[in-house]
Amino acid sequence: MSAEALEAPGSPSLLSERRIACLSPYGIHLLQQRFIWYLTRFLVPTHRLAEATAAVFEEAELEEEWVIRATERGAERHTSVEAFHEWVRSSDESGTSRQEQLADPQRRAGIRRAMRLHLAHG
Amino acid sequence: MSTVSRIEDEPTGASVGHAPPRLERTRTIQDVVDDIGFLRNHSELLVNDSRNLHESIGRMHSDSLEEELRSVTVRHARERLPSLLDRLSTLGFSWRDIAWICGVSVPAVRKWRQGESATGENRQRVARVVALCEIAAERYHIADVAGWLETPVHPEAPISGLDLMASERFDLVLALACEQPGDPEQVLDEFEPDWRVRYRSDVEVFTAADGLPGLRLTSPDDQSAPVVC
Repeated sequence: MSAEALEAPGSPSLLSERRIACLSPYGIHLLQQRFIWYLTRFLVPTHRLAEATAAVFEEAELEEEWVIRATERGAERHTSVEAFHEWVRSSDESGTSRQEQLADPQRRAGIRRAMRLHLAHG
Repeated sequence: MSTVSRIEDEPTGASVGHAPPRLERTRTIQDVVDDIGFLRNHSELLVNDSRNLHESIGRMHSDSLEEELRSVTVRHARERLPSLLDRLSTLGFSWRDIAWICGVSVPAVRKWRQGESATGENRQRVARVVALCEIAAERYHIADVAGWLETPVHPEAPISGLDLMASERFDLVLALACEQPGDPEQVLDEFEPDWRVRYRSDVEVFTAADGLPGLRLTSPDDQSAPVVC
């Protein structure tokens, strides 16, 4: 596939279907590396891309876990997505939003624990 | 009969007092140098012996820790798989990381959580992760084991305890837990000898003006100019 064909589709254009395959985080970093190279001729090490994007992947995985849990209990998908965003963007007792805390690898496990506890008691 | 007779009795005070004085040779600087050189060689031998002993005890400690890990793993392997996975979930592990350490896909872990059976080998792998977390928390008082394992071992390399576990180097994770060796660079040297060269990079992650992470060159001339955001 040519790098020219790469684009980010909007959420409404994504259909809810069974996923056949997906890239691993490392696969995504390789794709990003190749795309940056294609556009700029600048070679970014994949481990730096991983460091810069880790929080985004983490949030996506938490959102998936939240939505699966909530929909299994009968919640609407869009409602559970909104509830997750509200939760992750709010602050905990540290005064920092959970979303910001995900940037720190040492605090990710704590956010996951808090989310699972929240879902268990929700 | 011999004319020389042995004096069997103790010497009298007079004979002691009249014994001829023994003359000591004056010590020269060469003698002092020889003596100190001998002491230096002797202390070097002691240092080597002590180092060998320390290494030998270190290996024994490492072997005994691995044996303990095996023993705790066997105990946990008797538990139900969903309950083992629940333990890891409570500790804060991501499902992606659990799958990665065990060498399976995330959907496979999801099926195990829902009660599908796993091979004996996979059950053993999950039990070993649980066992390591238990040893790290109980023996080495690591409060947040999952957070500790996710954090890079060294700031100059993106290698974490999870990477070591995914490569079956639980022994190195145990070494980090008990801080033997105290320097994590030694653990990285054993895990990936060329890590210093492999991860050396002129690109660094920084927080851009919008509060999100970006990438830029680290050379002093380019500090103010973000290259990729």
